Amino acid sequence: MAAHALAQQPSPVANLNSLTETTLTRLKRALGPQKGEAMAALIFSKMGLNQISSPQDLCDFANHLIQHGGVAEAVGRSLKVMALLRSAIDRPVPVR
Amino acid sequence: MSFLNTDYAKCLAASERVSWSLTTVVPADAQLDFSRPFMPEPMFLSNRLEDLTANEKLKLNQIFGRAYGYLFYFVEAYIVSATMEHARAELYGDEIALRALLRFTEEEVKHQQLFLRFGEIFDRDFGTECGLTDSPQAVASYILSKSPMAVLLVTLHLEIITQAHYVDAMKDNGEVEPLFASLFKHHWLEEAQHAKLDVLELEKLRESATPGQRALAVQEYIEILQAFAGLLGRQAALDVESLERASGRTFDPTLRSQIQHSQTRSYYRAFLWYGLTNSLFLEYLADRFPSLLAQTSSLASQFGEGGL
Repeated sequence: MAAHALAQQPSPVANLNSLTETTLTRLKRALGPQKGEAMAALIFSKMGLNQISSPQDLCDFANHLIQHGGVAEAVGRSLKVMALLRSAIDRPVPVR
Repeated sequence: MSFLNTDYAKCLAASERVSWSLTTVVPADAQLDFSRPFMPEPMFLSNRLEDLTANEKLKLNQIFGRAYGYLFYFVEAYIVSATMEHARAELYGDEIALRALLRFTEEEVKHQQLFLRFGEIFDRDFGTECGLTDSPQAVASYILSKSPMAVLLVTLHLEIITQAHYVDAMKDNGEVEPLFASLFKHHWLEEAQHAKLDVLELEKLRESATPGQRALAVQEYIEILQAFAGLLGRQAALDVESLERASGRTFDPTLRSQIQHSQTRSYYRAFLWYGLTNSLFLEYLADRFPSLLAQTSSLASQFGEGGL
């Protein structure tokens, strides 16, 4: 379902910016290609976005990931530090 | 040499090549030779004070050396915390960068232990207590409250001065106490990579920063330097008291003021002026932070010999 949701949105893979590419690469590396992509699709769907355009998007994406626990949480915490180093503001996961 | 021609793999390879162990550099039975100065002549401006005896100048030089090592221990507290964050941001990312940053962090902790050991040996054999500024945690908290780009600029400044001090004043200096010189040689060997890693990390942050965030980093870098100047001034005041204890002499207010003034100038020159006038640092700022470059000259005047 998550991958299906991603397919219905403009594809983030079509024209990846560097933050999106970094995020997808790390998720695939940590969770495996299919689970990584599905997790990204699920979170993009929750956020109503199809790519990560700013450090703030990255921070919000990371906070969603952290809620999943396990390895996804570990990736999320790393991405969150990356976002905060780029002056993002930590804020509760926005619900759309 | 330019900081801009480097990458994580080169830094990692260099780090592995020059690596050293704490017990090799400071063996358990290590001793300091208190018949020699610790700080090189060009860095010790109090040597010009006419109302101090030769022995008092030697003692003051050694007190300066004690604080100089401690101040590096002091600042490395925040650097360890900052580099841990940069390493964590590379988890599941670039493994070469992750290894280089983890080594950077480990080396900084090792340097802290190096300076702690030096302090223990010094305190054991110097004979009297040397006053040292307190609350490294509070200083670390202040610095880390600033933007990560400002923190990295200050870190780069500090890594560069350790190299400049060693290369300009300690290397091949037959006068300086040999163990002290060896500590700073080994410190310098690893800091050379750290400065390059600072630049690589700065590049990552700069790329995604807005003009406003870059301007804030410049402003906060200057704020941190000014706060650091206050800390150095407090250390200079403590040095006067340490010299009174070490020499068994109570100085009159005029001489106390002169000693404190010249010690403050020595600290400013060592920790602030050296960075603000370093050609590699200025070259980097010209390329990446031109608005800061435009202010380095007036800051260097403030912290240089004629600035107090």
